[in-house]
Amino acid sequence: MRFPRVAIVGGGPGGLMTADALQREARVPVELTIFEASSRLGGKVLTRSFARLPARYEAGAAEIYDYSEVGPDPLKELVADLGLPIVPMGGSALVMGEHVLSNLDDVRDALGADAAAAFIAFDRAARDAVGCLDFYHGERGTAPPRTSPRFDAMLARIGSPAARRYVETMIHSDLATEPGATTVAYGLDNYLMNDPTYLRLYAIEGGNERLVAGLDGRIRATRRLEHRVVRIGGGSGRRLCVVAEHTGRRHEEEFDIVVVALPLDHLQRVEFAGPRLAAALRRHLAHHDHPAHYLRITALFDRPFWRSWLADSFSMLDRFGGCCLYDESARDPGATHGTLGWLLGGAAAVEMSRLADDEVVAAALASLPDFLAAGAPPVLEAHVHRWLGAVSGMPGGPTPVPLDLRHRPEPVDHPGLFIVGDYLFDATLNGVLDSAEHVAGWIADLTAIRREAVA
Amino acid sequence: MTPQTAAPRTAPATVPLPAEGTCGAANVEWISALELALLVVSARPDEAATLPAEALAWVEATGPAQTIAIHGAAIAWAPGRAALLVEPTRCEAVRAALIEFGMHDRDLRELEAEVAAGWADLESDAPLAFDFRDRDAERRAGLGERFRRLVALRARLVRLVPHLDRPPLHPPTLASQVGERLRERARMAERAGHLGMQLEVHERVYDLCGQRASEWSLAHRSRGLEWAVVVLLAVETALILVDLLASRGS
Repeated sequence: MRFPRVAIVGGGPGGLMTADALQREARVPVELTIFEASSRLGGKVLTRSFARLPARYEAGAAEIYDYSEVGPDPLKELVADLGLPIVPMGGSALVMGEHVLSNLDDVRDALGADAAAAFIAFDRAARDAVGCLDFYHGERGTAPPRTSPRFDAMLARIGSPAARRYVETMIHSDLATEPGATTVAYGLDNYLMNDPTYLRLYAIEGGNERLVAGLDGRIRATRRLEHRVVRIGGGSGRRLCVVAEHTGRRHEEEFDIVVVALPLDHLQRVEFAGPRLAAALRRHLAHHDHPAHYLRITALFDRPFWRSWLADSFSMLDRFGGCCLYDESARDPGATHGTLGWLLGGAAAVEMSRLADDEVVAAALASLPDFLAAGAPPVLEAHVHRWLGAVSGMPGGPTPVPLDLRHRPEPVDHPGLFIVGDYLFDATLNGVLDSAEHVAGWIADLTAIRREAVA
Repeated sequence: MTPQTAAPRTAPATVPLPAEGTCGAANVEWISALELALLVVSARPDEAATLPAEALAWVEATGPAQTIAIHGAAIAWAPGRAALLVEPTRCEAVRAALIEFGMHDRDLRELEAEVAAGWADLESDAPLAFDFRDRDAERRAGLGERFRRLVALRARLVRLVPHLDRPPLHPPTLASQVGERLRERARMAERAGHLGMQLEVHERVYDLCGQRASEWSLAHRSRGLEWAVVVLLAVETALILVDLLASRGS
């Protein structure tokens, strides 16, 4: 008896979550093969350690969204199922110049009553546009499509320049793009996520990469590391042919179903054979390809010198067009050292990524306000991680398309080709799980139907 | 700055009241509803939020203090005494948040104490949840009283919980942040949850006790009825016998 063969192209969170979900949901056994171009699984979920001290930091995805206060949260359930402890994260401080603005009183004092009023007006408009449940359902397939103009048009309506700058600083690094390059819906999502009523944030104790390790540990699949998939096309019958490069040589394999779980910048490098399939993928990319960029700079100090002023697990800084400053050492309760992480987004990330690592680190340190820089001890060790084009600045595209079409770009001649990605939902780990579960459920149904037809 | 000493629980009258409407200078205020002496210290906006050592020592004189420093405000809290350091323009709102927290904390502590005091009664009453006998009849009134008290406790808790478990205000104010941090530090939502579970146990036991007592009461009443039937049957039998004897003689 031959089991359906399923190839998963991409060993990042999307690929692993698809494999895991498929294994749970499939009603007939499936033979899974995971292709990963690099030598490690996990993609953008990357926890690294320093050489000089046993200290960890997140070099990729910094935090996970917690929707459990509003409704079912599959990712939090998965984390719990894997037995991973979590640590809550949060922060309300925003540094503008030499002022730390942690609340409305600070905004009023530092920016003036008019700016505070303009900010409150924007906040109300944001809430009116997207309620808590709208936010939760968002692009998860149940809410009606939200056609949106660009977000900068909405920001331009904020009456006070100071208040506008405050809002832009608050959300710039989360957007990872410029307000003019994203939709009102996505911009508002990134503003409203600061409100704990809409969502909370958490990280996995011991590093977010434990999620990858947990999934990897329970997936029964053939793992082909350092196998870069270069071509996907039709095979014999309704099967699909996957061509992968490994140590300079090309290998071909046929599969019943292929799930492509690659970030957009990697998806573009895969050749899709056949005019109909190639055209479908071109349409898919044209709709979804709105690259956004991150740059992470992490510096290790012998002590957390910033905590007298910035006590939360992260704060926002009005440098680099608005960046996030993570207290990475807050993830490790009891740590005596201090690890500070800068998350730059959008144009600033692109610009800075052109510089050498030591120049980027120097620019990051120079971005600290005087009251922090004055007490900063020497940097013990620093690292830069570049994530250019790794995320989408307009997840779901400018106008949402039906869920099934997002996930199966060419259903006529290639019904066995599926796509999974965070960019199809909301550019988060939660979104990629939604995408993976949607596809896994679909494949589980298909394989069961085919088996019944054969029987 | 040297805070004036006070012993609020034993001699509240010795705690000096603050000057009318002042919050800018260090002063001690006696909040009688909470039996709390509150020391308010002004801080300049550019100062680090650290309570002066004398203020902390004053609070700790009554017991170990919880300390919180948040966005320019600092608070120390111990039974009967609290100190607050905040810049003058935000003092009133933060002071109100602190007092609101104190009221909820007091209400929660009272509920916890009353539920804790009920465990001894619960243990002695628990057997009645399974078996209620004639000798237990005199305890029915006590059971009813305790059940009524339990309902009142549940009602108080249900009214309190929305204040303890409310979502954070957004955009936050310093006062809302202080209130949230105090509630979080005092683990109020969790304590209310535990209290709810304890009350549930009490309610189950007294609910069962009530059922057993009702069953006993019904059984008690039906036993009287059975005796009445027996007596009537006996009378009827006696009359029949008399009737038979009379007819035999004739």
